[in-house]
Formats: sequence, structure tokens, C-alpha cells
Amino acid sequence: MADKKAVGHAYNIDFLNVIFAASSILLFISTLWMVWDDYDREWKNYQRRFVQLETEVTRVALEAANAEIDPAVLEQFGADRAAAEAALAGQEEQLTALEEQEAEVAIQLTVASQIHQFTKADYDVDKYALEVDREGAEEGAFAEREAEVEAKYDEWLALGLEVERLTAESDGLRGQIGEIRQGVTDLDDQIRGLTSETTRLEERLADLAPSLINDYLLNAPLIDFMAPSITVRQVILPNILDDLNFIRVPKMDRCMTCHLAIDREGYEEYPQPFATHPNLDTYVSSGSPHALETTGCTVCHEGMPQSISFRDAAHTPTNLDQEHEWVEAYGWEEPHLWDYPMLPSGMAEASCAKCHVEEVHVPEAGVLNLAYGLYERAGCYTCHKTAGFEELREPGPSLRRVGAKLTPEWVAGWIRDPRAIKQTTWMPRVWYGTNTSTPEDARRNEVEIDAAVAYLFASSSDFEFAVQVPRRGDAAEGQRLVESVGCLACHVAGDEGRLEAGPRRTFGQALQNIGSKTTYEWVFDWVRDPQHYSESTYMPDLRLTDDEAADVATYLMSLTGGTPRAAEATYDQVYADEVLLDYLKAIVPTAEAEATVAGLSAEERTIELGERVIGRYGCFSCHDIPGFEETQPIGTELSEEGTKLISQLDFAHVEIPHTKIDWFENKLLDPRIYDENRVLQPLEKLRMPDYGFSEEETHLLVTAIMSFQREVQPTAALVPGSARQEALRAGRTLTRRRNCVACHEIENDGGDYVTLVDDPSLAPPLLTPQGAKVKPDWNYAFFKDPIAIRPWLDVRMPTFDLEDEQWNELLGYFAAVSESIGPFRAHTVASARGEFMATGEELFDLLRCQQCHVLDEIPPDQPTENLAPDLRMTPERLQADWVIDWIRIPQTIQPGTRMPAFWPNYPETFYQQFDQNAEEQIRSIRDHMLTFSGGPRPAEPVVNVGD
Amino acid sequence: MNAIKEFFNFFADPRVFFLLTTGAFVFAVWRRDLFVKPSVGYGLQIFLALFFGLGLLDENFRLIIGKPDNVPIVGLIFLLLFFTWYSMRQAVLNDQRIAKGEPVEEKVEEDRVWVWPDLVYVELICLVLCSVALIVWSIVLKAPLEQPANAAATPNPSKAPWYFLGLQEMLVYFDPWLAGVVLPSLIIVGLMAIPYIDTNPKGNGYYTFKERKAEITIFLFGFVVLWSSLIVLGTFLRGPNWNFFGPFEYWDIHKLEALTNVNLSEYIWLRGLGVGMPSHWLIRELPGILIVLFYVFGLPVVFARTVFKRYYEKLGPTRFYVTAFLFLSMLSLPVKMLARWLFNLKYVVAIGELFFNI
Amino acid sequence: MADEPNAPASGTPAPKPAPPTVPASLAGKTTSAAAAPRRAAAKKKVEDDTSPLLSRRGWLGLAWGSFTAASAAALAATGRFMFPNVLNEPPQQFRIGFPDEYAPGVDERWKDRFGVWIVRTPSDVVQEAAGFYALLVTCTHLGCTPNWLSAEDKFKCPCHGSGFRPTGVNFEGPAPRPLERARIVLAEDGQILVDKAQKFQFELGQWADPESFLRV
Repeated sequence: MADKKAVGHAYNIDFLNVIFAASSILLFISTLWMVWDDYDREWKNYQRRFVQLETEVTRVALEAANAEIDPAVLEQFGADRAAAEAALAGQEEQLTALEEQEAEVAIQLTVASQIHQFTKADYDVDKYALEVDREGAEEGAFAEREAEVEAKYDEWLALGLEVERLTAESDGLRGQIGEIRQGVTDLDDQIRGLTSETTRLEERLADLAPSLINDYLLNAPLIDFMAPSITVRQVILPNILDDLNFIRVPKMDRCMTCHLAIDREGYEEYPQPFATHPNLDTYVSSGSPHALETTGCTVCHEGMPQSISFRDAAHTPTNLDQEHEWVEAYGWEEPHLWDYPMLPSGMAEASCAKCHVEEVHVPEAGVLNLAYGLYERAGCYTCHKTAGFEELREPGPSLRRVGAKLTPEWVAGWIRDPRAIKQTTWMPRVWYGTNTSTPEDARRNEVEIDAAVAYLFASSSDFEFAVQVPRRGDAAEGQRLVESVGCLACHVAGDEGRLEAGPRRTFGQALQNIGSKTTYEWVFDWVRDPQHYSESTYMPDLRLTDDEAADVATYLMSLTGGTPRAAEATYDQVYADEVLLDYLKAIVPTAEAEATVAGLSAEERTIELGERVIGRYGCFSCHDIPGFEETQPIGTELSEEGTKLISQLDFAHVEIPHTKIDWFENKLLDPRIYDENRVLQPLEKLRMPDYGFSEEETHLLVTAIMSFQREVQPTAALVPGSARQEALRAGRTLTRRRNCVACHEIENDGGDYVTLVDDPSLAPPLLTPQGAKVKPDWNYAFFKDPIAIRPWLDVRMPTFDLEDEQWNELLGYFAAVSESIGPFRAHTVASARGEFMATGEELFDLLRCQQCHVLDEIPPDQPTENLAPDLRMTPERLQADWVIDWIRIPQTIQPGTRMPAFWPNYPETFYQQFDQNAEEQIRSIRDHMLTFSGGPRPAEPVVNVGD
Repeated sequence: MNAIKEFFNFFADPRVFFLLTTGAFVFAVWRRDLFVKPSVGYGLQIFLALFFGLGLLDENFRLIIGKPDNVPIVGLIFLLLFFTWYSMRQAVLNDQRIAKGEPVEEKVEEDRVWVWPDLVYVELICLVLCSVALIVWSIVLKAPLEQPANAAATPNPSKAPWYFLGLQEMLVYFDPWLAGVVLPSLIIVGLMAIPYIDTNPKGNGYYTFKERKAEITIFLFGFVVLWSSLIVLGTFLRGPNWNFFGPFEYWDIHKLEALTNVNLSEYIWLRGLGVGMPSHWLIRELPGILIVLFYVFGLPVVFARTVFKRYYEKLGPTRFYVTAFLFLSMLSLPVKMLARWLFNLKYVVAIGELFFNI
Repeated sequence: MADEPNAPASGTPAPKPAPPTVPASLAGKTTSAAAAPRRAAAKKKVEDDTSPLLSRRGWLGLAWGSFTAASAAALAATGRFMFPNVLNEPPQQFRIGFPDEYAPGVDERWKDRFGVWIVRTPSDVVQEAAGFYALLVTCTHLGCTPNWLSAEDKFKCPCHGSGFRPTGVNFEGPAPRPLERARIVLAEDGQILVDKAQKFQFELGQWADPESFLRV
């Protein structure tokens, strides 16, 4: 190559020039490309589109606003104003003169004020200097200075008078000017008032209209640092923290960069990202408890807060269809680079628990509350320790005395497949799961089932029924009782589905096929007094007479059916011994295990195996079983499951999307699924039983699981604590966990029983006003000894065996709900005003209160829906102030009540008494009612002193 | 298609890969006359280009090669191959000219050129082209924004930056003290020592192989085979849990490999002699210690008297020993690798009490 | 790629006059001898230019032109980079509640958080109507934050003693002009919205602007 080059040169310069030119052009192009790539962001396009959208919406609103203005009125105003202006023209001279005068006075005033103020300043200085100087000096030594200061003060006062005079003059002149202009200014105001909305909208439209400078120049690349209209929007939340693993920093949410109308009404129908947030009263709007400026977005919805790109923000599609849509439209991929991707639409309530810490009932969080209801009823917390669910009872019945209730054959069939016998039962199926269904597994299953049954019956204690030979009753009457007395509030006897019935109506064990399950004697004993068989049961006492109990028991025994799943294999003792050996080898060396087995009789081996089986599958968590009082539950702790990293979940060989939510859902739908395709020894297999959850139940339970999170938020973010909040929290917990809400509605939740009766008046009463309505002492006595307040009601309040502490929680809850003052309030009625009382009685008769409000005997001709409580209870039972509110606005307090509104347009009144003063009329009726006595009352609660 | 992929997956096993690289190196040096042919040079580059190009059709391959961190290493492979081939070619050509008695090429070329334009203009153009490359690269391959660092969640795999991947590969075979401190220090010390131990005056200012056979062979072996190819191995063929994965294999984090390695002392005492392990480490590790001492002190003496007698005479005892020591340290890596692959040897000397293992 | 003798790209010193004699052995090997053909070639510089498409000058012009353009663009981009797209500052625009939450007079509740005083007046000094205005808490002298002295019915700056009336008008001390007012309007939900991004200065007549005063 050397001979081709000239002396002193290594390259052909002309060629290098071309290369240089080409590479410089490339450099220029790539620099421009870099600037453009940095400038062109998808969120900017969304903001541009939104400007167009907002223009459209504003235009529509403007049309609507214009339509509302009466053109005739506007024209009239215009004409009047023109006339007023014309009239003004006549007073032109006078006006000008006044204005000149006013201007002059204003000048004088300004100068005078200034001199006045300066004089004050001088005075202050002199005064202070004097005070300092004369400290400690003898009386009279500074007399001259004092006189000077005094003089200065007088001077200042005089100047003040001058200022006041000038001010008054100026005000007077201005007043005169104002008067002259009055007509025009008034009309101006009126016009402005009429057109304020349209003016505002027009201005907004003008703002939005594309302008060369605002929209193009100021938003151009490289120039957009000054005052761009297309900007990133964010909110910084000092009280809501992001957990960065080594530090917690205030969250910085930028979602509203694209979600521009999230806090504005009027955009509900538009597609995302421009849609308005649902429930603006509760979320996002400034006046709501979750305002955008203080709560932000991602604390509820998760995702990456600082991101302004659709993909990186970790949006999660709700279903497969949406996922495909997103893959096409946005190139969406599963977010791998963010630990907490957004919750799918509908699951956002899982985040309520971050601030509503350990609240069982969060107001208006319907999804979450139902999720927690399911979580509790299914008993997840018994095997899986969960913070906030420690103090709950065992969801399954006690098995200590199972020998008195059931037969081993029935129990074996039950355990094998519970839902074959009772389809709404919450008892899961432990054996014959997807990882234990081969014929080989079937043999082992049968061994284990029989062993468990043997253990239960061997450890069952003796039990004698209260009535040894109870007589039979009438099944039809029993059915009527069951369907009316209130059993169906907690028990399902028909064929509703489990989710359809809900966790409240399945609070008690299902009654389907109970006739095939147990004996008449047992049912009779139970229905008569549940606590006789099981001291810790939550079932209350319905105060049935023995006859009623017999009827109910006879009816229940007629509910037969259900085909238990038959055993699918047989086995011999040798195989059973092998299984026992397998269990023992896991804990002791083989030789010792064999020795142990050899030393036991066949029956003992079965029982020993039964104990091991129950220990392995965790039956003791849901059921009280003798010998397992101290045993630890077998499940993973779920207290922080929502915060768990996905790398800690084992997907094994199952091909599902790699997200936490999918893992949980698949686990709940088939708890043994992650054993698929694995090579495992029997004792290595997964053992969570199968509850037969439907898709909706699964979705709700996953919401509950995702709500169990590590606590990160500071106290400032939490619901502010107060005595009232604590009372609400305790009361809500109690009423949900004891299933009061299955019968009674309180705080817009509960009262499911109303779906079981023909008329709402036949359902248990609304408890929202209870705190303001009933005196707590009376209420407490009622709890201890319920009486019939509404005698036409078939459904009856049972006797619950709660502790005083719990009753107080309940009473405190009522008081907190109706924000009524505590129980320490007496009300005496001065019965001195005979005339007042007489008029009250007069009105009482006039309004025919007694027609519905029974005073003693129920009239035979009155349909039961129209009856009302005995008013003789009023002075002892009701809070006197509440009675007035009730009489005045019954429909507001209890919507749907049959109590008429006698004063529908209060304070207008139809009645003549007290000079048509509605307030006095109502009060007189109330006072009259307070003279009643002798109504039904609960027994005085007995206080055991010295226990 | 699958058969081809399986074929390549097989060749990527570290044993196969390392032996293949060593074999290729030996071939390149021994039959360099073939290696430096333009057809071979172009052919190799084209083959690599085809391999990468067609390989991109496979999803697993795409994921590894396409990761922005790994893209430069692809470039490294091409560049390394080219420069090794080019310099060897220049050396071979020069050797041929020397054999014919002609002056070397560098002597025949102009010995002076203008700073401007021949030096600086070209540098300017390179500056511009490199800027373009970096700008385009930064636009097309974006660094991902990941979640906040979590001490409780270690990424799997956790790889060192590319320039340390050779060392991370060494960690498989050596104790961290050796692989992380001693041997890297020796690399640096060795490089610094080259001017003092390399007394060969030939090869100044011109390419040659024949006149600097030993020096070039040792260096190329150390750089291309031990350093660079282990980087390539560490980048593309090591996956989760530092398991080996072929280029077309899915990175299964659950894949298990049996790491059943045995210390020399265990071999000797437990399995060989059938007695228990001596309690004091000095006795226990004595065989291993003796072997190491022989390797470090004895072998050079053996070399001096036999195979490398010529070098001993040329360099003198000090230089020779330093050279031998460095050379043997370098060879300790392939030696240990072979010992691991053939005998499942864990440590030659295993003194857990002092945290010292070889 | 045809290499050929080129004239040097940059200027060489003017060729020296040829020496009188050139020894034969050195013929063609000295600089000056080489310079002779070069000198001759220099005269034919124009015909020598064998660049395709454009002239040598053209290529170089294009090259340096686009290089400069690229550098300018990069410099501009660097300059733009110095201005962040987002600043983690308190918002300029904020809602402060409903009008009936404010009593007449100066309200200090947002002074610390947002840096404004909310003043409710029955009659404004400029607009002569009842309503609200928002004063920025920055003294117009040198930027300190004045204190509101309700007993003396004035804002008093502690730094150099500037005094302002409740209207914001300066009346004592070194402040040259009144306190600035911020834009104050009614938001769609009925709350008062203050926007510090837009200021109104009395001395420029801007207190007559309808957005500087909220009439209620």
C-alpha cells in the first residue's frame, strides 16, 4: 500500500473530506434525533388530545349555559343599562365636578395621612427614648421632656382629626358619585350575575383555543423550559410515604399528567385516561376524605408513582381481553421491574387497610368488607396466622363430644367430600385433591380418613342429653317457625349457592340434609339450648319452648338427602401399618418407628395414625379437638402477604402469568395445583384443603390477601383517632363478628334478613338511630332479657350470652353512630302545665296515634304491617329529645317506615293548637307520652356483687 | 432447527468451550499460516455474523444478546477476533519477509507523515463517528429503570461488570482470596514486570511472531483464552445460580446441578487411606501444601534444568524465576479447571481455620 | 481507491527559490526538489481537485457546517437540560377552602405553607367591592417575610422596617412599592383558588384586574 501514497501522506485527503462531511451530517442528524427522542413523549400527546376534549366539553357546557339565559331578560337589562347611561349623560357636569373634587381631597388625604403616620413614628421614638432615659430618675427630673412628648401626642391627635375629616369628606364625595352612578352599576352587576357562568366558559374556551405562542412556541423543543402549557403534573404527599427499603420518602404521584380530568366532573363517559374518577364525593375531589392533594393516587392503586409512561407505571389489565388490547395499543408487557404493580380495576380497596388499620368494616368499601367477611367465615385465619384476626373463634363446630352427635360412617363420608352432603358448607375437602387422586393415592386417603375418624371418636367425651326421650312435634309448624323466627338469618336450609347466600347467612352451619346427619335427640337438645352441647358456641338462645323445640327438631329431621361420596379403595392392615410407619419415620429413626408400631394393637395403631393425620392436615385449627389445644397451625403467616415479593412464591411447573395475583387466584381455585408434575413423597405433598371457591369468591379473597401489608404509613396519614372512632371500630368489629348485621341494618350496611320477608316491616328494626333513640340502660336490660317490643313480628331477638364489656362496646357503638351524648342524661318532665298536657292529649287523640300504637291489646282489625310499638314504654325506653325528631321527620330517620309524617312541611302545620306553632304541638304530644306508664319492660339485670 | 441449537448448546458447556477456545488458539498459533489467510479472516467474521444474526430468531438467544448490557460484548467478540487475526497476519507477513531477507513492512513504509491531516484529521473523523455511534446507541438501547434496591431480594443471576467476569468465573474454581485478591494482583504485577523480565530485543516497532514466539504465545493465551473468552463465557453462558446455560437454552432458575466436589485432603485421607481426617490442619493439608510448594518452587527448578534451559541461561536466575512464577500462576487457572473437571477436585489445600484455600 | 500525488492540504511555507545545483545522487530526493513539482502542481490546484460531486471546498464547507450545526444543537440541548422538567416545589396553585370559612380581615393560616395572606375586606381600595385578595408574603424591599401586627393594623418587615397597610400599600420604611397580589378566583367546586404563578402589582395598575380580587 505504501507505494500508492504520495510522499508525506498516509491517506487520500479528498476521500477523507467526503468521509468527514458524511460523518458530520450523520452527527447532526443523530443530534437532532436525540433531541427529538427526548422531547417526544407519549404523555404530551395525551395532554394535547385532552385540550381538544376539554374544548368540546366546554363548548357543550357553554351551549347549555346559554340556553338557560332568557334572552328577553338579557335584552331588557341591556336596554335598561343603555337608558341609565343616557340618563347619566345628563348629569355629566355634576359628575365631573364631584370627581375633580374627590381627586383633590384624595391628594390632601394622602399627604395628611403620611404626615400623620410620620408624626406617630416620631412620637413613638421620642416616647421610648424618654422611657429609657428617665428610668430610675427622680420624679420631675424630666418634666420638660415629658411635656414635649405630651405635646407631640396632642399634635398627633390633631392630625388624626384632620385625617378623619378628610376621610369623611372623601367618603361623602365618593358616596355621592356612587349614588349618581348607582343605576348603571346596579345594572352592570345584574348583567354580570346573569352571565357569570357563560362568561367564565367563554373565557375558558378562549384560553383553550390554539394560539401560536402558547401552544406552539412555548411548547417547542428546547424552548419549553420557560412556560410550557404541556407539563408534567405531580402532587407531593408529605404524609404518605414510599418504602424504598432503606428509607421512607414522601410519595410523588404523577398520574395526573395523563389522567387530566380525574378530579373534574363531567368526564365520566370518556375513555381512559380522560375519565373522571368514580365516587368523587369519597375520592379525589377537594372536599372528600381522600383528596388528591393529600392522598394522591398510588397509595390506593399501587404502581410506579413517578413514572409518566404507560408501560413503566405498571398498569395491570383487568382481564385477558384488556391485556390483548393493551399489547396492541401500547406494547404492554408484564411489569418485571416494579415490585408492586397496579392493582387491577376493582381491587383497589385492598389498599384501604394501609390507613384503616385492622378495621373489619371500612365504610363504603363494599368489596373489602365482603372480602373480610368471606375470609373470616372460611376460617383462613385459623391455619394462616393473620394480624387483626387473632381473637376470633374456631369456625368449625367443636368435636369434643362428636360421639353423641354423629356416627363414624357419616363422619367418614363427610370428611371425604363435604360438599356432596351440604353444598353451602364452608368445610373444605382435605383428601382427593388434584395431587392425591390416583388409585394409589385413594388407598392412602382411605387409610387416613378412617384413622382420623377413629381418633375423633376415641377421644370424644361422654354427653347426656338434657331430655332423654323428647317427644316429637309437628313438622309443618316447625317449618313455619324456622322460616319466621329468624333461624334463616344465620342458617341456610334451602339450595342457595354459597356466595349467593353470603358469609352472613352461612354464619351458622348449613341445615341442608341435617336429617341424614344426626339424631332427633341431638337436634332437640341443641335447638332447646345450644350451650348445653357446646359452651363456646356463638348460636344464641331463641327462647323456644319445649313444644316449639320439638316442632323445629321434627322439621329439621325431615330435611334428608345428600349422597356421601363412597370410599374409592380398600386396604388391609399391612398397608395401614405402612402408612403409620411412613408418618413415624419422618420424626424418629426407622428402627424405633417399627418397634413402636409393633408394640401397638391394631386399634391403637389406627388411633395413633389418626392423631398424626389430624396433626398433619391441621383439622384442629378449625375444630376444637381434644389433644390439640397447644398445636401450632400449619399454614404460612399471611400478615404481610400483600407486601411479599413475587420471587418468594413458587410457581413450580404451572404455566400462568407471573404475577402475585395470578398465583393467589390459582392457589385458591385449586390449592394443590403447584404440585402438578412434581415428583413427591406423600408427606412432601401440599396439604391446603379445597374449599371449592368460585371465581368471585377467589377474587374477593385475593383482595383480602393483598390488603394484608407491612405497615409503612406514618400516624399523620392514618384515620385520626378519637374516642368516637374507637367506639365505631370496636362496635363494627363486634356487630360483624357476631353477625348482628345479618338481621339488623346499621350504617347503611347489613339487614340482609329483609330479603327473606315479604314486607320490610316484618324484618328486624333499623339500628342506625338506636343510640339517639333508646336509653342505654333500657337497652342493656333488653339485651339481657329481650322482650317483644313489636308483638306482630314473628322474628324474635335471641338472647346472646355476651360479657358486659361487649354490651358496653355495642352501646358505645350506637352512641357513636348517632353521635348522641352518652348515657348520663336524665330528662324530667314538668307536669305542672296542665293546659299544655291537656292539649297534648287532645292532639294525641286527634292524630289517632292509638290506632297503630298498641296501648295494651292489639286491635283485631288492624293488619300487622300497620302496627307500632307500645307507647307505654316511652318514658323508660326512649330518649325524650329523639321522640320530637321522630314525630317531626320519621321518613328521614327510618326510610320506609309506616309512621306518617304529620308535619310534612314543618314548620307549617295543619293543626290549630298553640296558634299553629308546630314545635309546641309536637312537644306537647311528647310530654303527654312521657306521662304513660306500665308498658312491657325487660327484667332488671342482676348484678352479682362479691363474685 | 432444534438439532442445530442443541449442537451449539453442547459446545457452550464450559468444559467444551474452554477446550475449544484453547484448541482454536493452539491452531491459530501453530498453523498461523492458514489462520492469517484473508479467506479465513473474512470467513470467521461472516460465520460469527451469521451465527448471531440467525440466532436472534430464537427468543432465548434474543433475550441474552439483546440485553443492553450485553450488546457491547457481542462487539467485543468481533473486534477481538479481528484484531488478533490482523496482528497475527502482519506478524506472519513480516516473518515471511524476514525469512526472505527483505526488510519488514514497517521499515518500507514512510517513516513520517503530516500531523495534519494524516493523524489529526483521521482522529477528528473518528471522534465524530464515535459520537454518532454513542448517540444512536443511547437512543436505541435504553437503560431500564428498576424498582428500589432491596437488600432482601438478590437478583439472580448477580453478575459483575464485564471486565470482572473473568474473575467471577475464576471464583468457581478458586477460593475468593485467591481469585479476588492474589491472582488479580499477580496479573497487575505481572504486567508491570514485563519490561524487566522481557529481555528479547527483537520485535521493536514491527510485527513479528517468530522472533518473539514465547512472549506472544504466553500473552495471547493469557489475554484471549483466559481473560477474554472467560468474559464471553460469563456474559452469555452463565445464568441463574451461576449455572451453565447454552445460548439457546431457557434460563430456568430452578435448574439444579450437582456440585459434588471433594478436597484433596479428603481424597487422600478418607477415600484413599481410609483413615480419619487428622485434626491439625498442618498434617491434614500436608500433601496439598507439598504439592503447591513443589509447583511454586520445585517446578521452576525442573524447568530450568530441562525444558526451558535455554531461557534460564538467557534470563539469569532472578528473571527466570520471576517469569516462571508468573507463568505458573497464570497456568494455575487452567490446571485447576482441569482438576475440577476431571477429578471433581475442590481445593488442593483447604485450611478453613485460616480462611485460606488454594 | 486511487492514491495520487496531492498538494498538501494545509499551507506550506512559500517555496524557496531553487538551489543553484542539485547533486545527481540526490536528484528527486530533496525537499526542494520535491517542492518543484509541488509548486508546479500548486498552480494547477483547481484542476487537481478530483473530488466527486462537490469541490473540495464544497465538501469541507458542508462538513464543517454540519459539524458546527451539530455542536450548536448539542450545546442548546445541554442548556435545555439545565432546566428540570419537574420541580419538587410546593404547588403554585392551591385551594384554600370556602369563602364562608374566612372572617373579615387578614388571615394568616396559609402563610407558612403557601406564602400568602388571605384578606377579606368589605371594600377594596381599587375595586371598591367586598371580597378577597391574596397578598404575597415577600417584602418588596429586599425579599424578607413581613409580620402581620394586628394590634397596629399593619404588615411590618423585620429586616429594614418596611410597613404596609392591610391593603398591601407601603407607607413607611424603605419599601418602594406595595406588596404584590396573587391571582384569586373561585374554583369549580366553590372553593377559593389562589394562583401564585400570576402576580398583580398595584403600581402598574394591575389591581383593577378582575382576577386579582375575588368579589363575594
